[in-house]
Amino acid sequence: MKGIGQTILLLFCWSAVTRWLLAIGVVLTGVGLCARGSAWHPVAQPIFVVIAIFGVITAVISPVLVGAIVFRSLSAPRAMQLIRYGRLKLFLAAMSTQVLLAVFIGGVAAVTAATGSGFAAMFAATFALLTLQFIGYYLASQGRFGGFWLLTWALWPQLIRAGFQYWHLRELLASTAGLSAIVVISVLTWLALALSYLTARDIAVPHWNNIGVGTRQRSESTLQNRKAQPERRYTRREAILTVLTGGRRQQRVLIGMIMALVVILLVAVTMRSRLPRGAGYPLVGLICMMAGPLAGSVAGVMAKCAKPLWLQSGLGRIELFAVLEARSWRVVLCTSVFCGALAAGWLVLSAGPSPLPAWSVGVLVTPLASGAMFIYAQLQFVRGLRVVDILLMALAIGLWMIECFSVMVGADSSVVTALLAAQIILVPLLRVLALRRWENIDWLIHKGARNPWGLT
Amino acid sequence: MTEPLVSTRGLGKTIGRKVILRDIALEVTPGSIVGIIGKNGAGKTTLLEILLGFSPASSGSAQLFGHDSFALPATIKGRIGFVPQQDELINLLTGQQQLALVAALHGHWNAALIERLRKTWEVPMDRIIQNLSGGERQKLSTLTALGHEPELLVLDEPVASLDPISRRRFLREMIEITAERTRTVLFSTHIISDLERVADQIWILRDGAIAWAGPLDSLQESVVRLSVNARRSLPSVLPLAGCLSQRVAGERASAVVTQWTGQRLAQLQETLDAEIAVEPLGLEDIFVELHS
Repeated sequence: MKGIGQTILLLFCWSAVTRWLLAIGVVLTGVGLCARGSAWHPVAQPIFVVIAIFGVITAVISPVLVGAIVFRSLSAPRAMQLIRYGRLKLFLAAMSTQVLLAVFIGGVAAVTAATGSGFAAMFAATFALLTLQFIGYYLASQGRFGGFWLLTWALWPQLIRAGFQYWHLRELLASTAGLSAIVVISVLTWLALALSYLTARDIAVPHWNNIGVGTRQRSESTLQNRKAQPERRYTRREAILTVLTGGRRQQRVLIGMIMALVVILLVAVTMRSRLPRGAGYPLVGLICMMAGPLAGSVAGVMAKCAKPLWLQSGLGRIELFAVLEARSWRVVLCTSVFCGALAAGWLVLSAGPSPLPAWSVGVLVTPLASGAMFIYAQLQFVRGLRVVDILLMALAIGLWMIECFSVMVGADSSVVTALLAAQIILVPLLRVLALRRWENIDWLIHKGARNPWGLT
Repeated sequence: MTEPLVSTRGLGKTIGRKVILRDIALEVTPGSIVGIIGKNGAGKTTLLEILLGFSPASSGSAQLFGHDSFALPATIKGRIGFVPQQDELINLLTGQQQLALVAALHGHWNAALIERLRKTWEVPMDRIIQNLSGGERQKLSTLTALGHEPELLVLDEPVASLDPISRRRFLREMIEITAERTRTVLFSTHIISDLERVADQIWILRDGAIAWAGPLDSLQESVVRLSVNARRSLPSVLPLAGCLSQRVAGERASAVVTQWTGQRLAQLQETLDAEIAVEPLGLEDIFVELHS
């Protein structure tokens, strides 16, 4: 039991940052729910719901996004096979984690939902989705392009919406038989995974490993089949960028972005007759909302790679900061252009009605504004876990999440504009702080990672 | 008098509430090979990283080539080669590409030297770095630090992953490099036999402070084991200055002392009314005694 408990803890919070996220999320959820149950003015009630939802997202984002990779990383070492019931314990812990997550998310959703849906229905639906996400990502992560699994998230809202509209999902969730069927299917899926997982001879470490957890070893076949790149020469500028970006990452990211663009636009073309008009706006909006932080966080990873350049390139701390800054801006600008192209393509191909003004403002400006904010939020985060730095990062994340929420629920465009303005104001302030911290950066504290890009 | 290449004065480092280094005052003259030893967590890596400007000192100062370590100009950085404890190679590149990359960063690159060392150390260059063994990675990492012919070579546990043959080759090469070009080498290690083989200066770090710094010969001369055989019962604690450890049993005793000189022997024999045998200690024994 102790082993299972420890593994559950690890799947929930595998690093210091995720521990913080979990703690902050649980506290926010508690505050939101308690305040909602109190006798506050009715106008304030929606704010408490937002706080609770924000708390849930913060608490579960790590186990939902990373749990499957951590699970695979823990299962891969051959030493695991020497531990008595080692794999069984890991499996039970993984399943228990998803049950606990479903209880947490379903519980909060049942309390805050305006439709009065019961806990059982929420639990069953959440558990089914979590099962699909966990097992799907676990299986996908053994492949090199496993990260594309996360792109399927873009389809989920559409499928759920279609399910409610055309496939009688609401009736299914309202009946005991329907609920039981969903739970039974989820449990059977877990049993199928158990069967293949417990009898597997070898489990490969995640090939797609964007967080760097687990062992670094690769399966033998992968080692043998990996082809060497041809010999090449570098200019000084190319060499600096290669050190910062870990090789030809940018090329891969660009290919990934183009592939994603093609996939999403294909979805727009193929599903437009089956979906309600305008149903794709949340999907495109979500992608554009996520793009900014993802592009901005590249700065954080490059900052981890910058240490060797201090001696090898002769660049000073501020010069290194300038290189990182310029490179990060380029990524954010490319991403913003990509998002603009995506939104325009969607509008033309899906032939839906005109989007809400908040949506248009959000989709067009958010990738750039939030991307810029996250560049400096990441670059200022180089002094270890200091309260001020964590609060600044939390402020950036909070602003971005509230804005996402506002855009997705179609809030007044003035609210979205105000949130964007706040992000834009924050950019120069964070830059000043980041620059000051880079003047005295201590690489004993901000340690360089051996393979921070991890995507190998 | 030769200007020191590396010098520190009252150097201290504190991270949070943890004191990692305190009051380090050291100097390295050109052409020397300095070995640094200490237990895990003694502060070896921290000391090297502060000397190279990766980290600011909390107190005191550290200078390299007469410049403040934390603000080294590019010209000075080009005269330094560094092999970190955990290599900073890029996994997706081949060894050849990694060397080309570092060569492009430095500008000056002695390709002939690297080719010779590559052959001697048997470093595979056409395989991607991710597929190299720990020892091969370490050798490649060392090559990246040698190509620009640095005047000061800093190595943080450079032989930890090498097999005995590779270690010998590596150390032989290190001696040759310093002998030919009057280069200076600063390296930390846990393998004391290597230190005895190549180092002419030694720094022993204990709990963040320097327990000993100086020529290896004088360390071995000044720390000795005394075997005391008295004519009458000895006191429970022997009156020995610089005593690291002692064991007394009746008329017999054994003690390890520092700052030993021949003049002390006669005086001690008279004080204790005993025959005293003096035995020099190996570096490993000295290290253990200093930490006991």
